[in-house]
Amino acid sequence: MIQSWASGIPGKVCLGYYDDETETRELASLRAIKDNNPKTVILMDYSVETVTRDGIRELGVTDFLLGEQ
Amino acid sequence: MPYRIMIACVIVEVAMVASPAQYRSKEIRLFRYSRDSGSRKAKLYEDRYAEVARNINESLPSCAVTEHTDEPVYDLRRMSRSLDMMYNLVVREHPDCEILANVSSGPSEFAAALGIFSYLHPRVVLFKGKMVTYLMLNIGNPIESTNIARGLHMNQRTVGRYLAVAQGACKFYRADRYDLRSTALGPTPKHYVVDPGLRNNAVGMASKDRGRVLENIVYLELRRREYDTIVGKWDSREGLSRILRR
Repeated sequence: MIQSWASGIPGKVCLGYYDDETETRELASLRAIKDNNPKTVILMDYSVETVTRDGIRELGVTDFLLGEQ
Repeated sequence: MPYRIMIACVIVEVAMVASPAQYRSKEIRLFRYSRDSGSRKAKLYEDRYAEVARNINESLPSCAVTEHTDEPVYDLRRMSRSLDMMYNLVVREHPDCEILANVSSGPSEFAAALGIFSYLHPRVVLFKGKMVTYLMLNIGNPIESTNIARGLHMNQRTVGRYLAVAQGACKFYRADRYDLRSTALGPTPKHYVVDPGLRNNAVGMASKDRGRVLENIVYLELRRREYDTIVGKWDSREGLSRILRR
């Protein structure tokens, strides 16, 4: 099981980006993983799904709960 | 200090029926009831009661233990009436008493009867296990048994047993924490409550930890979608989770 983690999808949950510093801090852990797996951040107050320059998907919790993936 | 009386119900499913050493109660009233006395099941309940009474005597020898065997703990009406009668007798004897009721110790009817009892009588205080409240407050936080033991003045081994019982009773899910680079298992797992409503009941709706609740909800949803979820860190960065479909 441990070996198969490499194919896992990294994700993170946070309340929201209240300033640039918070955003940088929250995304830093995902940016540190240098692989090609899709990375997702789930945010509380976020209505539109976006993707950052480095490909991290930002998703509102409502969309996450209502979605299937 | 008021004369403290604890009320609890002895059933085999609950590990921690009464903790007089922590609450310094002078008297403990233990309820137990079996429908068919003489059966193997009744014997099991009797043995459990004897074990609980022995534990209380060992931890607090001066505490008086009173056994109540006539009240059916699964009958809400009769239980409420019995508690009322008991309250009147106790208050007549000890006008300055304080009654602590262990709401998590018995079946749901017993808990409901205690709830009504506490609404009717302001001297009755409901309490839950300190451990459970601690875990509810710290969902999504790395939990180390040594820290809990230090904070709650408990034995570390006892804390370990409580954690195992809380998971076995389907109150919490345990998410192990790994270093994602070295795949080494971290010493401090995270715990998530199986239903955020339980947390609201234990610590109140006023809790401001929205982030923890959000993390808990996402974890539950991932479990529902049959993902295996681990909590990990990458180098020194905490709080990452990695999901893997079954």
